[in-house]
Amino acid sequence: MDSLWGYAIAGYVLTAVAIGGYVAALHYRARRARQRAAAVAARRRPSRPAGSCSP
Amino acid sequence: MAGERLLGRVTARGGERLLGWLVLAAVVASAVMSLAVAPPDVEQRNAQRLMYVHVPAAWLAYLAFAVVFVASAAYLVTGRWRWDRLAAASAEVGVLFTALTIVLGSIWGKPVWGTWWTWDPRLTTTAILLLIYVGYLAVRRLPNSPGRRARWAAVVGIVGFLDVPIVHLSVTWWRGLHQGPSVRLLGAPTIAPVMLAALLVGVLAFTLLYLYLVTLRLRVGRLEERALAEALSPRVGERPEVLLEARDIEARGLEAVGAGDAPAEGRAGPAHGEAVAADRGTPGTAGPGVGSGG
Repeated sequence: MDSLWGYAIAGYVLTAVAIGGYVAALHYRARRARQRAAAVAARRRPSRPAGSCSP
Repeated sequence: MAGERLLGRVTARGGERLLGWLVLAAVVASAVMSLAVAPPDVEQRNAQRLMYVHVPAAWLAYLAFAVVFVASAAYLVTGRWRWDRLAAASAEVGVLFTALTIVLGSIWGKPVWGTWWTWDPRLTTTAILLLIYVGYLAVRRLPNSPGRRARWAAVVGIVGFLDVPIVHLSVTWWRGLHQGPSVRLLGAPTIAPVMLAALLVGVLAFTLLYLYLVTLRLRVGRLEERALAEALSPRVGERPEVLLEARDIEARGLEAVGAGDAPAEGRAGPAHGEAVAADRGTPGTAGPGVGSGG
């Protein structure tokens, strides 16, 4: 049996990629949700005074 | 409640950032301990170093699903959305770490057992555990009223936890390839002190990592609900909890007055679809005007 470093390194790299990928995905989702909320709010604000249905 | 106040404090942005730095320091310490300080095993050589990640990942999965169990029970008792959010966040992290546990065990098994996979009781029950909680996440995406979906998920979260003690005790109950526990609550550990130290640092690092990931996932959940509330609420800045409650009451009210499936679907359907879209984060279906923001 050789030193088997390759298996150990493969496992650690895979762990880092999986956790790093998950953290990156969460940050991306957070940024996208903030942008969505801001876009909707920005679209509503100017339209509200112009909505002249009410007397 | 004191527990809820503590959760709120940890999930504040400042607390999240501090936790992030703590996690980084602990992960670096764990990597140094397991890759440089701990010696290779006499028989398994350096492949044994995978145990400093495999075992903490398995511990994390247990912890995550225990939190799902407690939060699901708390949601069913109190009906508070924050418990449902905590269960969802913890389940997602738990699934990630259960999958990691299986894959890391497989990488270790190839040189040591001579196979990537075998139907050993521990491996099989762990694979079932993964399937249960993947199913839990699937339940959370069913098109339904938010309240009903949360209740169904809570039931799955409680029942699914029954597999955790089975996974843990499988090495004692049935004979298989997987070794028994090296560290016990009672009795001396069967591994060298320096290896035990590396393992404990790994467990600490992964526990902090779990707290960080759940904190981050909770923030994402809140932001996505807020985005949904912005899209659907007549008033900008409506609290997402208020919106979810209102839509749930509306859906239940339609059922109670016997509006029938078709009209109920007709009115409540789009709202449910939007809730699903928010969970999934698909901007194109989250409501009018939302797609352009993504």
